[in-house]
Amino acid sequence: MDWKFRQDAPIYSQIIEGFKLSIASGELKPGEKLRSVRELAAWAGVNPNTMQRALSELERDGLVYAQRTSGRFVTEEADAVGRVRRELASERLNEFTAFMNRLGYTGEDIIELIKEGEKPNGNS
Amino acid sequence: MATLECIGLTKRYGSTEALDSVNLTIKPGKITGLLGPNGSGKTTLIKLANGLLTPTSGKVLICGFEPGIETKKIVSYLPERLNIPTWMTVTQLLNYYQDFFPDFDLARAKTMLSGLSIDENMRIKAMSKGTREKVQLIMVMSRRAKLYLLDEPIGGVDPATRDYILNTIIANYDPEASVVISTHLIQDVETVLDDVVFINQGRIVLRSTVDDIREKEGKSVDALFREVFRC
Amino acid sequence: MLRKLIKHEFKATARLIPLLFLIVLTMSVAVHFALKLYDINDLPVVLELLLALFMLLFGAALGAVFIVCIVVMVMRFKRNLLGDEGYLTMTLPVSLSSLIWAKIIVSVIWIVLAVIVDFIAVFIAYLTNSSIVDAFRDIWDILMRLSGGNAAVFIEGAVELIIVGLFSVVASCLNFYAALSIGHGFARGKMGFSVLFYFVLSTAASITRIVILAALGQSVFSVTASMFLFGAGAGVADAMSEWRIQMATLGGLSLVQAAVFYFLTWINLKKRLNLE
Repeated sequence: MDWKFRQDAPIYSQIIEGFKLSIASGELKPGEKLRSVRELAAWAGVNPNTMQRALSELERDGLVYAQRTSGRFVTEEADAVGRVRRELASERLNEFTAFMNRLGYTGEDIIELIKEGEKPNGNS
Repeated sequence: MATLECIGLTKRYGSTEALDSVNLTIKPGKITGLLGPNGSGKTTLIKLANGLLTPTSGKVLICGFEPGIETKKIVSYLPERLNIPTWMTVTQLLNYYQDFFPDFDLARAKTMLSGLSIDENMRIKAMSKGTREKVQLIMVMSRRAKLYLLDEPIGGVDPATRDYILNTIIANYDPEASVVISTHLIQDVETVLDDVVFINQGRIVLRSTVDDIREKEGKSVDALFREVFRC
Repeated sequence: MLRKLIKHEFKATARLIPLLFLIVLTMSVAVHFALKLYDINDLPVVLELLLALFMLLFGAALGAVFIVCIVVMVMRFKRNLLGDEGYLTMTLPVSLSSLIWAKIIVSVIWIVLAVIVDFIAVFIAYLTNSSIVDAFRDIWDILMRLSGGNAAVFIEGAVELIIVGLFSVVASCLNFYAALSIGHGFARGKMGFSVLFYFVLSTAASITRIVILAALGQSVFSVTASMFLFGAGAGVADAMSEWRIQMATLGGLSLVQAAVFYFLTWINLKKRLNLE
């Protein structure tokens, strides 16, 4: 993942988003071992405290768990992955529909557009 | 116990006041940015912490001690200018640091040097400017100090070197030590900082954390800095 | 820590001076053989001129050794404490006194070695040259007579002279160091002020010395006078005590001079240091 941080939001919350996406999309597999805080921080180019804060919150959300001697792992709970997928999807959907409404498209218009887009010879 | 504490710290040169009654506390485990335009007093503050200057009034304390031999043992300083003797070879320089700094980690230094494929028999004089700066950084970061003072560490370096420097700072993070980075190039270092201190004309103008600024002001520290210090 | 500082001080300054020692000693061997040539009559004028020139060069080299020592000493102080290297040196966990003393000790050692090397060089050069050897023998005889043929007296006199010499070398080094330290404290024209203060300090020291010696009814010349007192038939004991007083006075003056210059060096580096 190439980290490009936006200017208007705290870095730790952007890191959390990034991890959620990786977990939801399967890039990070359930039960996969995460690198150490310091390695992750160096990889992302951020302060280790910031990375620690992000990981702590992911732990609180149940997406990641820590085993004292072995390190941190992605959750193996089947529900958790599905949950975060839905969460991210619905966030993006809300943003999207708000944007489309602004352009004047209704809900049905949107569905039409999507169908057109998915046709084999579909124009984009 | 604060790593660095400034109490009413004032420094005057003749009629110019470089620092005016500065109060500042820096705790262990944090990477703090000392941010301000040129001539704001950043370098003066750092030199005072190093014992290179004496205060006109007020105090500066490192882990409770005034600057002296005991504090120099626990402070690692990277000045803006190249300070390593250029006639030495890298091996001689390693020997020098080992001789005088009890907290110098020779193994760590050698690892970092070989990571950059730097030949230890090479003379500093024969190296390019970028390589010399990296060697100097390696020496400073190989010390297991309690306070790291980095004065404009990424000024005038190419992006690859800049990334190397920031990665080295992150990789050497020690929860019992403090790192103070003084710079006016905020955009590049912002992601590495915990806390920020804005300084202007010898006074502390703002003290906060990177997260707080982004959450409350909705903008990056760099953007806020440009606002605060708009000409 | 002082030992380590001295070690590094030697490493830093031992890149030019030993080379010069080698050159001078090599030249002395060459001079030795050149002088043998000189003894041959009917030499072509050109060759005689060349030999004369070579002798001149040798004399210059003997002097150059000292000049180089002084230049190295001054440059080293300036560069290591007051230049960019100062950012490292002045943040070492060592006392300011040990930094200064390491430099004094190493500078004095180089100068003493320079004296010894020059002596050896002259010795080698003139080793078998009869006229010069005769001259040395005459000097030796005078010295023996002066000390009343008493080896113990001669040794004591020589040792005292050497000690006074060392004190004055230390004072001279500190003269440079003090001038550099004071000059550095100025925002502009650091070198200019350093040169100025060098002369101010050395003149002040000279004047003070002359005034005090005059007040004590002595002068530098009376040292020589007391040497001839030996030969003029006065008792060796009297002459010897006269000599001791001379040496003690000169030594004491150098010591005070060194102490004042040391204080000036120390206080300026402590309070007025302002690295760029």
